Amino acid sequence: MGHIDRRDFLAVVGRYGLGGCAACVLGEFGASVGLAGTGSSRRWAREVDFYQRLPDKTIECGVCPRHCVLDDGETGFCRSRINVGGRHYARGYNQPCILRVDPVEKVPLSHFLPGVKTMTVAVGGCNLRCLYCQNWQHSQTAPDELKTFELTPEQAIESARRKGVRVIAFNYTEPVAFLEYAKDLARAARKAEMRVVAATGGYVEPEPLLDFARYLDAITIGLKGYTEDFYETVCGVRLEGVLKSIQTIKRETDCWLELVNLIVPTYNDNPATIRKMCGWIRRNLGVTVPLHFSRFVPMYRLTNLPRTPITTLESACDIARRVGLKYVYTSNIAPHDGNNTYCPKCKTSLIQRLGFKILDNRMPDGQCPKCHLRIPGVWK
Amino acid sequence: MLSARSPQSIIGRLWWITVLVASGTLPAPIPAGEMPKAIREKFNDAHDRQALDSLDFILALGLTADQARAILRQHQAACRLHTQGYLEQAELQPLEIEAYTAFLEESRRNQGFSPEVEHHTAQIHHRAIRARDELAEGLNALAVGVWDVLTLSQRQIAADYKPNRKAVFERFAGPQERRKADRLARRRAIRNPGRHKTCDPQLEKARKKLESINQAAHPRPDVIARHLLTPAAAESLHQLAGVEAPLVVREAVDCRRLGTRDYPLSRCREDQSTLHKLRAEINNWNLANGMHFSRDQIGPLVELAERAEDLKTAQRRAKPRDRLPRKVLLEKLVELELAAESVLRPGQLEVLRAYLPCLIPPKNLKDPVRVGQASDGTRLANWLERARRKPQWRVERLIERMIEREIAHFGPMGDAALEQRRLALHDTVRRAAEMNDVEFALNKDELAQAIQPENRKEQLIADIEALRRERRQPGRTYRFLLNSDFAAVLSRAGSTRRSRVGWRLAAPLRSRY
Ligand SMILES: [Zn+2]
Repeated sequence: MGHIDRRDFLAVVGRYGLGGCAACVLGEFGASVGLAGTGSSRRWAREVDFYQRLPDKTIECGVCPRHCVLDDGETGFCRSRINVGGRHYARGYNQPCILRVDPVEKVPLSHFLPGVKTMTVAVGGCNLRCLYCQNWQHSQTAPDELKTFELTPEQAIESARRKGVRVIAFNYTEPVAFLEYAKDLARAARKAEMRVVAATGGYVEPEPLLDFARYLDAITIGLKGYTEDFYETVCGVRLEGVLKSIQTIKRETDCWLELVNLIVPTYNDNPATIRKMCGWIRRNLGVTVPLHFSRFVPMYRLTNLPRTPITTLESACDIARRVGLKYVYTSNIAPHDGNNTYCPKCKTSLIQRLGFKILDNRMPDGQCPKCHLRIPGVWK
Repeated sequence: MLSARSPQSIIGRLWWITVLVASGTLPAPIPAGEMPKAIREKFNDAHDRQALDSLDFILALGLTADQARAILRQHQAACRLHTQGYLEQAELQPLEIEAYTAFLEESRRNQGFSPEVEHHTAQIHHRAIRARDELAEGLNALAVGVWDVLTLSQRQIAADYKPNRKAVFERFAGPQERRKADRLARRRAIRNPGRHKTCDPQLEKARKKLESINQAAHPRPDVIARHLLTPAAAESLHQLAGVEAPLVVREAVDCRRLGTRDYPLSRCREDQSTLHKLRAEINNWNLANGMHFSRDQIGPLVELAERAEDLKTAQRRAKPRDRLPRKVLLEKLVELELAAESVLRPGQLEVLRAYLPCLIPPKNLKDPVRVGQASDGTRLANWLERARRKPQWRVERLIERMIEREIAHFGPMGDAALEQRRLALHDTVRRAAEMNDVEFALNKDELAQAIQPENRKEQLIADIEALRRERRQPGRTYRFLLNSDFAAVLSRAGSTRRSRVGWRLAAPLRSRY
């Protein structure tokens, strides 16, 4: 055998029952469920909440609309859930690969406690395959194949408390891929009276989404394009599922919602499509939902494309405003006027930003100081 | 070499002075008084400044023939270095032009830099800097031998020496040359009204400090290397020593005056000027691209820049009695600067405040994630991450290396400051090592911030800016934005922004699974 790459190796390991380590897990896993033990016994410590058992130790995952059907020992498309002996387990539970303190603006969230610091947690894996992924090193790798921290939800909350951070954020990778850990951490944060925010691609079934959203204060959903073709070609999923998630959040939760659309030159920069997308937002979510147009930077598999021209971003903002959306932002580009918040009624400058930094906030209470218009969002 | 011995030519004059000095008939140079600016500038433009300085230096030292003979060996070695340096320049400058031209093309497109172009540019740029640094270091090493030859009093004179071209000039300049010098000086003062040297001592002091920090970043030839260990001193030195200049020296002198056959001096100068223009334009593009001006900002800014330029042109062309007094001119420029600032958004002003011209755009202009952060601590955070896992003796070494880099970058530190810095680094590494991985991940930015070296440069720039504001003198906004070169770049950026650029479609790639 001349050469074997990682993928072949995993396939072989999968076929023959996961090798020594997993074999031992299979033998004793029943006893280890729910235990924070050590070594291999704790790897499958958290069962997935949404899946169906099928005959012959096969399962069907119910977290995202992909509904992966997995044989014993197989890992799902998201690389973060595994069928172990006919039961579905989260890989990388308690094993975040990213842990850092960031401003909330990085999510991006522009109408949620401006300038507040978040403890950002991310676990590897993703159920999308965006060709331009900006964090592909983490999101396109199985969570337990990365360099990680050992951190239970309780320990995470304790760390945040010690650090004096009052908001937990899930960003950089896809919380849908580590929903079990994200949910447990969010629940613990709620109990500790902390706020929780998340950035997601939104490709998730309504039931798990609502189950997670119970503990969320704000969510930014990436509406990455507005054609099925774009979603299929660039993200490897279907647009319909994402639109459904956005509607679910808007209609069935109190969670503060913002949208982000990353404009990739030649892929989703068609003005007519952008107009249609903004029209859908207006009809389904209203005119006050903040929309961020984000600048594409060549990355991962789209390194042959240029960065999004600023004119494209500005035209997109113009289109959105003409459609009637009131809070339109540009992100991933600074300094830019699109970073700032203006009163839609009297045009007063309310929050001046430089990238993620707040330079000036003239409405700490969420009200325009000049015309007293209430600006929707979470300000306290 | 010494063929032009007529007293009308400058070489002839130098030759005569040297002969007179050597024979003891020329009196000591006139003591340095307040040299009129015009005269100094005349010499900068019209004559072989370096040869005059070398002669003046030799006169000031009162170098004896024996001493001159004793330093000929170092002088020869220095000549060899200078020739080598020129040859290296001949090789590097065309490469620099090529690299910067490609880089400029990408700057103009404002679509980010392709890694190859950026890497190549940085490589060539650093090679050129290294070549300059190595020449300076080589000369300084040779200068050590020369210092040994000097007497104690000569060393003192050398240490305090300031070029005094006045002595030579006053003796030889005719009325026509004086008038020309005055004219040149006036023109320069109009072109650069803000940089007038007589503005005020406080500003001048801050500016000098900033200059010395900038200079400390790279080795500079010391006073001996500058004035004695140069082909410009060859004639005087050999005359004094009474020795014929050897081939290696004659080559260096020819190289300095004419260049080489493959790379004549005229071409070298041309390339230098091309490089200067390329760098200036790249700087302007870096700033224009990084500021993300909106469509409605470009027009007013271009107009203000043109008005500032018109004002200066009118002043230059006006008859002396019609010229605006300097104070009034500055006041008008300040008004234009304030108008420009009112066009800028707070975020842009913040970026401009911290902006330092740089060939490769500084991180804060390139990476929106870093824009606006007090200072980019990523490098230090990564350093801490490495250091906290190392045994004590390795930490010591890491710290010493870090301090060396900082000295190279920010200028020398006093003993007390050095000790304090060492302690701060030790303390922070110890704190980082005591933390577990989770604690460190959450605290590393703050730890890095705590050991961020004091950026004296940034502080001085801010001080100078504040002083200018107070004195109603144009500052950074004027300097960077209100000139015709930047206006040209801005107009061009504005026009390319209107046209949509077509790009080849990325081949749709199948995902791995
Ligand atoms: Zn208002």
